Amino acid sequence: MRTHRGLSAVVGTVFLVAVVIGALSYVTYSMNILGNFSESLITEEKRQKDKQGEAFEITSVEITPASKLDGIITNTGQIPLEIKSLWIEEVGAANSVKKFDIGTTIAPGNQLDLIDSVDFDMDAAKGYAMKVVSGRGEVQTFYVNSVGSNSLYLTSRTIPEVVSTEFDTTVLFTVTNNSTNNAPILNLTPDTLGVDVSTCTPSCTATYVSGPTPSFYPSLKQGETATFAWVYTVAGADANKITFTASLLNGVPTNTATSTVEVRDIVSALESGTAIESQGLGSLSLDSHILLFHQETDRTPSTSYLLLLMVVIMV
Amino acid sequence: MSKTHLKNNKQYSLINRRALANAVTSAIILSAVSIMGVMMLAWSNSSLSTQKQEIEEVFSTQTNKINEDLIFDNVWFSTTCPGNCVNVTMSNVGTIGLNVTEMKFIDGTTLADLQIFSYTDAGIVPSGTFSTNATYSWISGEDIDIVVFTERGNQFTTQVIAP
Repeated sequence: MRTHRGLSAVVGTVFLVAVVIGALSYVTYSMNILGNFSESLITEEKRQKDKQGEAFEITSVEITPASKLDGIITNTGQIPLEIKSLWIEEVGAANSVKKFDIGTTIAPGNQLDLIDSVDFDMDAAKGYAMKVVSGRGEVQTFYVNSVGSNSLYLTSRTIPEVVSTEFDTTVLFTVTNNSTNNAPILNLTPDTLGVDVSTCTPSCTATYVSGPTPSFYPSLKQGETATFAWVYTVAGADANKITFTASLLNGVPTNTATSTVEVRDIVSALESGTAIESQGLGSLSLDSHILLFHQETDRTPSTSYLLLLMVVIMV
Repeated sequence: MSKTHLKNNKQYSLINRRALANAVTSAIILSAVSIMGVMMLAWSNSSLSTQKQEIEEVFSTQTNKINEDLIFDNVWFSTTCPGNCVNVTMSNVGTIGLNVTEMKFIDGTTLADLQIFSYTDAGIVPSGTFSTNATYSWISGEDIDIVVFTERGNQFTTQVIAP
């Protein structure tokens, strides 16, 4: 009987060892699988983190004298950036989409000049929607000479709102980029200012002096505001109103802002709200140490007040 | 010491019979234990192998799903396909290849399916691009959700408005 027990113990041990080895190998395998899974998660997390750390900016876009697209893309992130492709679509022109494969890597802080990678003929009068795609999947849209299909927050006012005839008024036009697509607007340019004198009796005029100042904004990011100014000399009868309509070049047609200036006979300089100009004093080249009294009669209001001007030149 | 058995006044020796019975019994027990052991090992191996395979499939599917990533490079509306169509260009920005199996246009307002497109040869390697002209009679101002399904079951969505 001792021999039998010994044999059973050996057989049992063999099986036990086999079972233990099998269980261990299963556990080891499972651990390896879990390890691989964790590694994949870490890799994916790193990729997402890199994607979040990636940042770039289209700092400028311009048209070369040869009517080619030029522009600068700056890597503003902390990691190298690959600019994969650039899409260009002319706003309002169907089937005008073009894709340019770039495939250039930019080190952090460095810039890419588009003229080296993209050969595209641009028209300064047309608007373009452009989209830059990075290798990690970051997509940035921006508009050139256009605001896209969104209406922006536009306001306009005249300063002063009431002027005497033959005096200047300044038309201010402000544009706020309140679009929700986070797209900057490059080369934001106002359209020609509309002047409406149809309500004047018998007639009035608004003569262009200067503007818009500035002629364009290089870049207007989301939330930023741009202001343009025009100067017009207004002439007309008392209570005549002139309406100015401001809009953006290649903007949404209905997206406009209006402001009005009223012509009024000014009986007091305090009412004018602006500096009074003398139209009768012809020459400014007077000798020094001269005290000059001048009675202004040119285009003064029809009331009984006269404009007296005193010029003191002291050197 | 040998044992004897007395039957009908005759003495029989039982030594040889007992020894034979013990050996046979032992052999039977050994065989039975061996067979059961082998069967148990075979079953456990088979079961473990099956479970291993299942685990591998589950983990590899989940891992690959996590690593799969796709972006919409550009979506633009054309009128010369011929007729109206929507050009959808996608890029694989993940670390593994993927297969686009289906693309669905959904009404952005009512969430009703507008059109479904199936693909059998839309594999995209990492950093690769896939572009398709989806024939669809879009209307100006139409709000369309585009949903792309991959073979691993992921789905990627974007929203566009027809010009």
